[in-house]
Amino acid sequence: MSAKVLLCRCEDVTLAEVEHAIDAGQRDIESLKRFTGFGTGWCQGKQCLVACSRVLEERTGAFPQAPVTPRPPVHPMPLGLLATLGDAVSVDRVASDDEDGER
Amino acid sequence: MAPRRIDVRAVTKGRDSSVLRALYEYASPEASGPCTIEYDGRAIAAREGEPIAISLLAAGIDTLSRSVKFHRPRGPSCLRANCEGCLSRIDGEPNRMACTVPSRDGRVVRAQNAFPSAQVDFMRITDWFFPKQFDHHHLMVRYGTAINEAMQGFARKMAGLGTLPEQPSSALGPEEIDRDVLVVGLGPAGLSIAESLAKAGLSVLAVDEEPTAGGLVRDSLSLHALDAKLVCGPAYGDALLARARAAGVDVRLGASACATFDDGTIVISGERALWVRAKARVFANGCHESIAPFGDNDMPGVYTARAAARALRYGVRVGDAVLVCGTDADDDALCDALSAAGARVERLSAGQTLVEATGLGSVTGAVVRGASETHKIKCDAIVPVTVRTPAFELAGQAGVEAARDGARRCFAVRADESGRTERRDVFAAGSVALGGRSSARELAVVQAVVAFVGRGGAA
Repeated sequence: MSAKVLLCRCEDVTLAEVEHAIDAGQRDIESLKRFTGFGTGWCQGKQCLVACSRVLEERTGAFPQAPVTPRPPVHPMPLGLLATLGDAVSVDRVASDDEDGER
Repeated sequence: MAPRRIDVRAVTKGRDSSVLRALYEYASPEASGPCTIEYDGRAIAAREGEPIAISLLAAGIDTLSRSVKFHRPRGPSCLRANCEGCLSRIDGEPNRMACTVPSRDGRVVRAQNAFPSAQVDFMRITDWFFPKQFDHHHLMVRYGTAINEAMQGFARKMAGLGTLPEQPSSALGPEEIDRDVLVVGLGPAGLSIAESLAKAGLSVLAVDEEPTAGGLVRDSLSLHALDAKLVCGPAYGDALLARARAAGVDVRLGASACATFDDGTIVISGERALWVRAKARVFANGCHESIAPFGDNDMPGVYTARAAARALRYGVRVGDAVLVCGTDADDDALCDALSAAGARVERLSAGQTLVEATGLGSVTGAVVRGASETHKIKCDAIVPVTVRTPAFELAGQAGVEAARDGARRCFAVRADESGRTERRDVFAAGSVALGGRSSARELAVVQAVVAFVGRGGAA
């Protein structure tokens, strides 16, 4: 059996899958992420985002202008610890970069 | 896989190079005593305080988990909490990264999401059933709801991460901290900035997710200039850390900044969450290593150069025959150190590229392509060339958009020559910032932060 090239280890997304998605029309990094699910796992894109961006560049000729939107938490954290913050942190909090709606 | 603990006394005997001495800083028998941990029912001899992933590698166990969809074998690849390869159930708690949890007598480590074990997992059949990809977003959705639901239920059982902990959370209440400045990342840039800010009279909290300070330089095996002396990474990091502490910086190691908002930053420090309110935030949190694309690049036995160096510092070699693909000064030093530690080292010659790793469970060889031919190398560990990519995510959460770094073909935090960003209270320095590390920017960012906090610091 042939070797798989893994671009996103956390979600088991292969190079073949990313190339298929680009050929299917997902020609910007945010759409590519939504289509394949790369960058949505344990490491939140630490290892795969640039690898996928480079494939996009090789396939479309352009490296993305900006990365996908980084959202908290950047590092996995136990829910039990998050729960202790209830009194300190109000629940209606939003990350700064979510203020402009869709992004 | 054979045990890989180095006999440090025998290897270092008669050698006096500072590199070699520093290599084994954590591994000397005086540094830590023996202990025993349990791994899937087996007793494993370990050294107290070393990461569990290192203890298991030393015992010849490199397959610790299975991937979510294909159930491909996985093991530690980064040894610095950036990958999913060592996720294990430790002392009844799921999803602990075994590279971050120290070995202690009686610790119980179990594989998760593998049937029956990480080493032998029958669900690997998924990998062979889907030879190219497994697009779970689009598979099965066109069939009836019942089939789709059955499929979803099955997929959820097979995938996912661990099962609930045995005990309810025993987390301590949060610590609320108010400071002038929060510095995230304690590599050379973060440490020197934190020290200078404290000397300028500001109250500074400085955090790093690692248990030690020094960042990339700490893991480097070459020598670095410090006060007109050449020192190895750990000594460099420790010296800068001592200065920062002497200047009054409140340093928290093993403290991971997970999320940052306009009015505070969540830092996870051991069993406790910190809620940090700071007038200014300085991000000096360096780089990740991007995955190197080649065939079966996720196999246990594939390590970043940084991980291979880190394992050596604990007195463990990542393989008995190691293929090292990089060619910079640190790669040369890594090869020397691996050879000194008893490994056979292979390197790529000019024009050769790594095509794929081979092996059924973990690495037993590599396929290498030259100008005219392709040949196979026998090895049990591979260190590919990885790309260091700026960790822009936290600054991004703070509202600073990352920019394309055309030269490095990655993304970086957009900051000016004084480390200022589009957010007045957010600064960036070191390799996380556009343009990379520069000592001029580290000096300038201190002045900019002092001026900003001096004005009252309102964002």
